[in-house]
Amino acid sequence: MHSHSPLVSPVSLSDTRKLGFFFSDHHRWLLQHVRRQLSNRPDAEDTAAETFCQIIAARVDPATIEQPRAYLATIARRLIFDRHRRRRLEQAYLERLMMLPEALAPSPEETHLLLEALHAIDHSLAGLPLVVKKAFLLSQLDGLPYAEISRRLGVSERTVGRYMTQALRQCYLSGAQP
Amino acid sequence: MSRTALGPAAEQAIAWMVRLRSGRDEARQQAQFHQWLAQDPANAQAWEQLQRGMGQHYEVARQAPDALRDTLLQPSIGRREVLRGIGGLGVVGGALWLGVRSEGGRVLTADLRTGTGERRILMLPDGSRLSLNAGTAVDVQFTAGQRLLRLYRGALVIQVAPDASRPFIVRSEQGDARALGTRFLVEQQADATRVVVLEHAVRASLPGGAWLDLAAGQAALLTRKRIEPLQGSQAYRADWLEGHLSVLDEPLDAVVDALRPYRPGVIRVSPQVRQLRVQGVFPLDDSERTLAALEETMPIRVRRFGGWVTLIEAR
Repeated sequence: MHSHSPLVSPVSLSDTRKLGFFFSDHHRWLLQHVRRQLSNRPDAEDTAAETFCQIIAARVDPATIEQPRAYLATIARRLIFDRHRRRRLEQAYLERLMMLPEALAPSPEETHLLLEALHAIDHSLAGLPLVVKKAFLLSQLDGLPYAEISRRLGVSERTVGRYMTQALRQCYLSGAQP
Repeated sequence: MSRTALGPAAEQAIAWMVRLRSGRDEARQQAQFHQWLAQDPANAQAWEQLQRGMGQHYEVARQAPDALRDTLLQPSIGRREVLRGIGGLGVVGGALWLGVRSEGGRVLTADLRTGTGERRILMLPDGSRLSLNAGTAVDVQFTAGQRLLRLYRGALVIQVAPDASRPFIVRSEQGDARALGTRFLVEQQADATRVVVLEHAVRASLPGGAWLDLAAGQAALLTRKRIEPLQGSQAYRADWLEGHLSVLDEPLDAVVDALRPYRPGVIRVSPQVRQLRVQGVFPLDDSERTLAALEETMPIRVRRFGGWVTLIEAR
């Protein structure tokens, strides 16, 4: 819309400068904020940097962010939470790996792919009750019919259906195109 | 649990998936399903998205030994489950200011947060009266043994309701302010915490064990290493309660910091003018007027870019 050409042309900072200001204004605060939650300093620095990277990657204009700190904190919180989840998953994975007979253990390359996949699944099913995840994975990974799942979990088939609906809603959301 | 509303096509796609996976009456369902799928491009699209969400990663996971797959079935992390508002207040659901959770079992946990330019007064469940300055974030952690406010940023004034069996503590990043009487202010700054006693007394302490009792009218600054008593009356620090900012003699930088929670966007003060001394009383709720007043009385120039970026520099 160019119908009203303003008398004073708005001074526009170039995007890079805007980002530069944004970064310098909030970086210290964000780092402190993150460090309250992550005691490990390199982790905190990673998370703070990753937060800004996400803003750059998403081409967000910092001038449009209403509450920069709340916004940054929200992104950082997700990253921190994700990091926790990932750590826990890897930990559990390694513990289990050590108990497996060598013949069954995946190779390092396979482990890498598998961990990525497990993390993505874990992320997509985050927040669901354990029993819902169990029901869904029995169907999704093992292809079991609801009758069998209901027997194993000790719930009715209808309940299995409800659990499936819950899990599939989250799958649907994570299937959105980036 | 929050449920994102999905569109009708998405809900139908999910319902179909639930039915098709059940392992019953497959042939009859298949025909109906294909009819649904062909009915509307939106249906096909929703189906595709659902399949993407159930795709590739599961293929990989299927190849894994059961023991490794089961890593997905760990009990989930203790994200807060109890999120309750107090007295119908807007409580931030997403735990924006997620801090360290108290180890106690069932505590009343709520995040209180004020936005830009917003002050708030509220009654806590014990009858204490809490005032939050703009841009403040607080966790309320009341247990049978104590009443703890965790201040993450901003400033608060608390009027403590007496309860001999449960001490009242405000915890900041640097340390604790424990009520020995009633009314005091705690302000979280970048690297320090200011405690100002308005009535009765407060015990300020650091995690290391150092402590200092402050009487009415006294104030202290808590840093990581020590507690520094502040000279002169600091009661004016609570003037935000009345909506103004009183400045006796402070660097411009500190004055702008006090304005930040009242102004959206970014305010940047150029290094040459940060240390200029400021005196005066300024309206908080009209940051534009405050900036104009500063510009009038000081050798500075205020430039505004689209309402979101404000630069203050030497004239």
